[in-house]
Amino acid sequence: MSEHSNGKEVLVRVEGLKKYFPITRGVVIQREVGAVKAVDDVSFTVYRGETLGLVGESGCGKSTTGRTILQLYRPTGGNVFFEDVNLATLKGGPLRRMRRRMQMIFQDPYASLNPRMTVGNIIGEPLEVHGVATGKARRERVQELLALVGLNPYFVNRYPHEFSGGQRQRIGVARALALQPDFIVCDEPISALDVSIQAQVVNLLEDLQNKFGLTYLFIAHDLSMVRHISDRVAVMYLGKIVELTDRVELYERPQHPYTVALLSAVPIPDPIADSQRQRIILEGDVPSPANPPPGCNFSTRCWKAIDICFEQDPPFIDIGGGHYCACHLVK
Amino acid sequence: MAVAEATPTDLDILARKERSPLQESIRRLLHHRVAVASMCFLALVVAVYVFADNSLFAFLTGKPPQPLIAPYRYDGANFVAVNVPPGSRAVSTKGEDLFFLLGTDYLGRDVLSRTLYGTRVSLSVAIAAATVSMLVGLVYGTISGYVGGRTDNIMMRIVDFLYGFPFLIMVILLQTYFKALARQGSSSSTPILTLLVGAAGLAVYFGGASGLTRELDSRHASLVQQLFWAQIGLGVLHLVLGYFAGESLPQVVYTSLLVLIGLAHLGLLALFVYHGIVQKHAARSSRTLFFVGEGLFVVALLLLGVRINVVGGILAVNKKMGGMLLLFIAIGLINWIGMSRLARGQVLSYKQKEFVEAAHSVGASDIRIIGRHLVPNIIGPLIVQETLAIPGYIFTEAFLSFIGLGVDSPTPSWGIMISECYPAIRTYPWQTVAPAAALTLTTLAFNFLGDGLRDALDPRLKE
Amino acid sequence: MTKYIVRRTLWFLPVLFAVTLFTFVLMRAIPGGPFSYAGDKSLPPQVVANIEAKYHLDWPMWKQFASYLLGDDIVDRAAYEESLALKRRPSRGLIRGDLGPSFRYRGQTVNDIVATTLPTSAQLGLMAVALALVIGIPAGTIAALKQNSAIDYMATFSAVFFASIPSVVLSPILIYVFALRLNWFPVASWGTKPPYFLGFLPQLAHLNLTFLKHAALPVFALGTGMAAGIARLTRGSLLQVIREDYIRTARAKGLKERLIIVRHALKNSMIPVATILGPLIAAVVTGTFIVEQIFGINGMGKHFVQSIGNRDYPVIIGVTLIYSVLLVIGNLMVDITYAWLDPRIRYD
Ligand SMILES: Nc1ncnc2c1ncn2[C@@H]1O[C@H](COP(=O)(O)OP(=O)(O)OP(=O)(O)O)[C@@H](O)[C@H]1O
Ligand SMILES: [Mg+2]
Repeated sequence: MSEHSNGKEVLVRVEGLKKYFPITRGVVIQREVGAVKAVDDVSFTVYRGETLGLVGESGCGKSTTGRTILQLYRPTGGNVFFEDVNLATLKGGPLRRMRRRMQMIFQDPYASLNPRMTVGNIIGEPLEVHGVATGKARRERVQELLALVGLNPYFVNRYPHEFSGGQRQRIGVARALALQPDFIVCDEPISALDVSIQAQVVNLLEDLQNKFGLTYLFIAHDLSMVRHISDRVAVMYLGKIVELTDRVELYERPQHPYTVALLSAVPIPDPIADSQRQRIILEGDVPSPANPPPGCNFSTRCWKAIDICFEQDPPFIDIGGGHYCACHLVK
Repeated sequence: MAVAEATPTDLDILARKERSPLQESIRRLLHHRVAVASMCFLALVVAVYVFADNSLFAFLTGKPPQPLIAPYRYDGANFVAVNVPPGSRAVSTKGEDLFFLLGTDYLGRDVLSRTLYGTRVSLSVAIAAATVSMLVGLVYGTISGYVGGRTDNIMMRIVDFLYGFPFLIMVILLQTYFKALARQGSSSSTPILTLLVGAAGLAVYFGGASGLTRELDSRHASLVQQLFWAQIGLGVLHLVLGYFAGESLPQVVYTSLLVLIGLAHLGLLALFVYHGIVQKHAARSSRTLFFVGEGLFVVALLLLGVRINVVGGILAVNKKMGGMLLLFIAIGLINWIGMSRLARGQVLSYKQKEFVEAAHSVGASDIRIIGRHLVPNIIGPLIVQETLAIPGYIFTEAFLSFIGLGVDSPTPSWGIMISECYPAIRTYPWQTVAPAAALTLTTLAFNFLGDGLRDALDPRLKE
Repeated sequence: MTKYIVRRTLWFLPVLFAVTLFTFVLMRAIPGGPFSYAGDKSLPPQVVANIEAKYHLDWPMWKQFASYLLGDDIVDRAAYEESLALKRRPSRGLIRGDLGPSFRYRGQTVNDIVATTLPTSAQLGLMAVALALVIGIPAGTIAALKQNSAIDYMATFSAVFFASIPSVVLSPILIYVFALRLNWFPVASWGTKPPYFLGFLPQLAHLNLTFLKHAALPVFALGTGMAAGIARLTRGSLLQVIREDYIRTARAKGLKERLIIVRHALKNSMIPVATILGPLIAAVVTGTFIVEQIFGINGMGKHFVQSIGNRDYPVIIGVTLIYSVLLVIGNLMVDITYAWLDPRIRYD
């Protein structure tokens, strides 16, 4: 088992992960005319038991990162080590067996449950697929899971349309927990929910983490919620991670200009401090991931950009104490 | 576990009956009065279909079937009562009392009996054609949409290509051909079907091979290419041999050559599998295409070589069924294209849904995802479309029978009855009215049922 | 857009080629040649062989096909000269627009037959489509606007009803009621004769009451089913469009109700209607087979059905090709209409 220098145990290690979606032209003979570089050379580690937050604007490739890690999309390049197994090279049966150990909670509670299946069948599906429990045992296990996520165990025979968004999301959580995984990718699990319910679901996730020692990759674009739940936070921009560090460090000493801009847009509870603060409004649009700019991806909108930023891609390096940043101006 | 303690609210919940989306739809359908009336009528038609005579039991006992619901046999000519109007009585040459509720036709056959027997053709055609087009369309469209990528592209190009075909005219021509074959009654081996299978196989094979060459590295790609051309070469050799076989080559020589070529085919394939290239490097879609195409191609060649009389076999079965089998296939094949497009579109829209991804992420297999997650969700619109297509099948049957390309006489079909009797409509209108009414009522019922189903499955349209 | 149309048109060439090949091979594969039977008695084999030689039916299949496609002069110069010497008509090939001779009607070519019968069928078909559009779209629109009213129920019911009556049934009934019982219309035949205006339109002088009287029943028999289909589709898609947001916005802006319908809803609701134009043309084509037969109209459909009985293969192939071209043009028109109605679709 790989141990990191700081003594924490590494659960997932992502190395140079790339996911390009090809853009094709032509009818009978298809030519690749380009690629959407949804995830472009991303590396990071997730420690056992921690919550790693992943934030960024819509379309920057957060979901794609999560899905590629879980091999729901096959990576274009790079490796994903789960403990010591390289998922990127696994296929078929072995990959399916690994799926028991990593699960996903989806963003849209309305789209993530099959409307034609009962709650019991939805939660029981992982058990069925892996032959973990059958018959009465499966039913009991499903009821147990329902109780665990705070739903009435008698709901097994109901259909998803009879539930509210928050309840549906709990069903999604129960499904993810069914196989007792180590690692769960939460893809914006609360952004489709009412604000009043968001906290409940987050608390549930935290309780479950404490109870089962789960490891989360928590994707969000709501910075305040990420701050609440994460141990460390990664900031993504246009397919790349630009900064990754400890939660406190990130919110107090952001280094990358993009992170600074993002944080400046977050409202602060204290109205005086909020009004005194300088907001950085980014100019221009996010470039298309099919056609990223040369040099630093952020160079087109960066107010600090110097010549080198337009020519060279900045390396993603440790600037001290596990604070990673990809910027020519930060050393 | 907290399962044991049930609070009053829990009991409320327990008392409430859970309804699946399917049950909801059925409930809505049952509230649709016209649809229910249509279903009742169709149930009646089905009853007539099954019990027009006792052929169901007669089949078991081996005796000739006797009319059950129908008063007389459909081919029972009565020369004492030709063209009599509805409600006539007559005494047959054997001295039996005859009563014709709906009159008789130009051979003195009871119009009512013939109309009742006519359900057999129309309903058989409806069911068989619906099943064929549904199955083919569902399978084809689902595979195309689910696999995606290049496979999807090729499959949809084929559909586009076929879409430009004047299918009904093709059916007419095919029926002409089959009818001529059947009339001639000879078992002359006709390689058309075989050639079609071969051509389809070759196309698929080509798609697979070109996909493979693109996905493999250059060394392996050239191997695939060599294999491909070797197989084609063998195939051409095969065809040339097949052409001369009947004329100049003795049977023994031909057969042994054939076996040799077949072995060579298999040998090449084995070589390929041995290298394990396909398994290791290529995408599953190209791999599947490659093997399926290869299989079809070889099968076609073998059929051609051995001269198995496929057409003759089909014709024999067709004859036993009164000329209906070919109709089924032909009419079913007309509509699968529309169905496959619909199925593909539905699959594409559901494939992106998160619950499908969720199934992937828990490790469900492709078969399971298609069977448990996709098909149950997409089947509704397909059923509606198919129900609404059934009147079209019945029309087509009537149309083909009308122009003399339908079932064989004396099997009664509403289309044949109309075509035989409409020239005399001035003097004997009842002969046309009975089958016309039966035809209209049946298609009307299917149309209303289809509308009801659509409303029931998609409540948004209604409100 | 132009590029798209050109590309689509080119794409149709292989389809047409495949149709030709398929039809040709199938017709040649039919056991017992077209001349094996003359009426009830079989001709002596020697006579059959002679006739077959005359039409080059003794050639191998590929050569026959090549000659059909390219013409005798390209495929076999010697045979071409010989035909000319014998004062026979050599094949000039499909590429030069020659559909070959009719086997049944001596001295007539398929081109002659098409030239005399197609205009009648075209008139019948166009009038039926016009009738279908003129009845179907307004009926569907009114039904949708007065949703769940008595008018709506009546329109919906009659639409389903008329969609359920095949022309096989409707035609004899129309004849019986309106021609034989009521004597309002003539029983059979078509009201105009060539020469036609623009090749297929009746001359103005012929456009009189007699023409309309002759046309009324067959056009009605062919058109009502289509009208019913169009009405159902118009109603359905209009209802869907009306509910969509932008109509609500247009309403909120205070536009007059009718303007809303015409400007926004109707145009958008025509998109699904446009898609059935293709099947519609197919329906017209097959509809004419029956309607022309029953009404005794000397059109291409009747001729097609008869040549199947007569084994007049060149006519069958030629007419099939013409129908294919019609369908292909119909499909292309659907695509273009589609693009015009829905500018969101991009063709590149
Ligand atoms: N299956 C796909 N095929 C092609 N392109 C895709 C696919 N999935 C995502 N993309 C593209 O990849 C980029 C990243 O998408 P992704 O869904 O990962 O973003 P995201 O950060 O999760 O955004 P959001 O916050 O909106 O969920 C986008 O430009 C998107 O268009
Ligand atoms: Mg996302």
